[in-house]
Amino acid sequence: MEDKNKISDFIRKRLENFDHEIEAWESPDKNLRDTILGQVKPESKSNLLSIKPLHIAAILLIPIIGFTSFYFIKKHNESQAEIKSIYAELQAKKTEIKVLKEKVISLKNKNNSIEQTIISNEFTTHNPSNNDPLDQSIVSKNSKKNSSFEEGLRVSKITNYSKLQQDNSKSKTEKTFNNYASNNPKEITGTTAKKAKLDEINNRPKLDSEKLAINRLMVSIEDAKNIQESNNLKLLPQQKFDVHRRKNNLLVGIGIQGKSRPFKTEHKFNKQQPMEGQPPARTKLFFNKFMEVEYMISNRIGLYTGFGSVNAKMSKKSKFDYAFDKNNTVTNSNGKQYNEIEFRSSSNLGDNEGLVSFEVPEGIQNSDKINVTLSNSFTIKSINIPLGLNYYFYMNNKWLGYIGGGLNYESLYISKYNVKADLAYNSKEVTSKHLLKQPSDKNIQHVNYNIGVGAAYSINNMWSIQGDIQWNKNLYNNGKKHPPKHFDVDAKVGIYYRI
Amino acid sequence: MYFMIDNEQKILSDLKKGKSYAAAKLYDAYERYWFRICLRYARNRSEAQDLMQVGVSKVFHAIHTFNAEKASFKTWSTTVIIRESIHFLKKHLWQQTFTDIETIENMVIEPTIFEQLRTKEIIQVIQKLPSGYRMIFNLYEMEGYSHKEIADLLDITVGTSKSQLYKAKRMLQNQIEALLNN
Repeated sequence: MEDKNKISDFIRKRLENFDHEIEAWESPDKNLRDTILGQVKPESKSNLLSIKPLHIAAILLIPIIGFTSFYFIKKHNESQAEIKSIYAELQAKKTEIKVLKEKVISLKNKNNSIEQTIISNEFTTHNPSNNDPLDQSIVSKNSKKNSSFEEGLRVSKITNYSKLQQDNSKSKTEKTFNNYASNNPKEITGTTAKKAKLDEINNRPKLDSEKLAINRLMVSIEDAKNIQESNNLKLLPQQKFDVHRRKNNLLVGIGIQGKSRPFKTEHKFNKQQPMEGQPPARTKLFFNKFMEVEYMISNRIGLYTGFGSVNAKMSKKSKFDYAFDKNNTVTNSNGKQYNEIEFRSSSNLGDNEGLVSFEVPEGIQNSDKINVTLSNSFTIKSINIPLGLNYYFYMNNKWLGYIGGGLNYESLYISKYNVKADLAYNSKEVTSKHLLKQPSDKNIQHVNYNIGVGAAYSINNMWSIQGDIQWNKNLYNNGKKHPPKHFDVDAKVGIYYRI
Repeated sequence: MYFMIDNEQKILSDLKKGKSYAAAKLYDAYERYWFRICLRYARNRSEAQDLMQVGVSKVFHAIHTFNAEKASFKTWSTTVIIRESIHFLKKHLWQQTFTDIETIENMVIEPTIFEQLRTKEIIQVIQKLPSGYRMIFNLYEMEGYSHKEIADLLDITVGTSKSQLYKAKRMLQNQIEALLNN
């Protein structure tokens, strides 16, 4: 083995060495040069130009999408800043309300305490008169209280009473008392009664002023509540569940898209003879992932664009009968007989030529039928960029329906196109060798216009699931035309986030 | 590497633009190199000229797919010519491609003896190999393809590729020995 490797090395070195004078044997004939160079034709500029506008359109879409996204994101940030400032204002109002509420509670407690003091004083020091409306009121209030509560009040009375004695505003109180005493001389009979009445009078103006203060605070609280409610409506529109879409909303979604594409093949034996029983166009389904952005230009109308990509394999089998042609038979050095079938496979997604060489089955006669199964297969890669409008209509709290339409640019790259042939004669497999001419990879570009219907389901205020089905028709196609009565159908479902 | 030419990048760029002078310049520069590849894959000079025609035409027609960042023009054009040659040979000769030859004698000769051979004679020895042997020998030993790559390219198994290479080398030994004896 080592020797043989050395032989290989030696041969390789010798054949890679060109450092010697040119000998006649190592150059081809001169006319071969002319033949080859004669076949080189300048590249058709028109072919290049036919593709360029679409490339330019596709490239232009990218900055358009970019600028649109930038504009709306900027707008979104501005509205977010506004919301933040309103929030801050609201927080300040809430704090203010809290302070005011505490004040109200404190004042109410104080008020209660004062009332209770008055009542207890009346109980302990004053014999109520049937003619005095104030006394009647006190009696009425106290009649509702139980005995234990009365005991508590009696204890607190002593403390309050000592405080009352220290009150400095005697002049005003005494004036009021004198007026009262002159009008009701029978009521003021003892010292205790006099003091109690003085205290009661002394407390009256204070109680009224505090009640006024409480009233003013209550008005402030109502104002604050109104501010809070109006701000709530501006801040959280999504809390109103029936509002799924709003003007200036931006929806960003990702999902899966199913595409059905017609695949029509036509085969010819020996390049000229069309085969009988050509298979009909069939619809092939493949899936891609997509990203979509939709901007609501009004509450009901959204402008959408996005990007989708596909990487899938497609295949199709077709069966034919080939009439055996004895004239194509050749005999090789081993004495075996071979026959050839040359065929051309043509489809809307690419062409292919091939040659099947097979061992001549025993006993076969000229024009006998050989069953041929041709399997077309290839890899398809594509990108697509949609641009269109959706019109939304309300269905219920959770559902929106929509109809839409627009354009869809699609670039298909067909590669690894292969046609495999399997032969059988009298139900027995025929040994064959399939020789395929290397097909060139193909790039097909479509611009479709489409219409569609769909529905959106709100998961919560921000997230929704949206799905639709679209029918596409070719507006432009640089490949072969679609088979008649066939059009592209796309169905997609995705999850969307509303900004 | 004398077949490298000045301003090759510009010439390739002009060829992509459809300027016919560029094709002529490239052809003149690479003619011997390309033809030697074809001679190795063909049975004779006439067939090598056929391979040269299909291979070089393909190089010029597919020039727009050439990417200088991925490979040199020499490497890329070699690959194109080899693939076209294999396709051509498969189409016209495949029945004889993988015939087993059981009459090979197991001979061992001194490698130094090969020094006496001229390049033309070496090519003639390779050309006398059956098509399958010749293709696998060239692809594996000269172009550096792996058995897996050869199997994929020729639609055969890796085992077939290995055995055919082994037999090709033994047959080469026999033929060189016979040549030297004469």
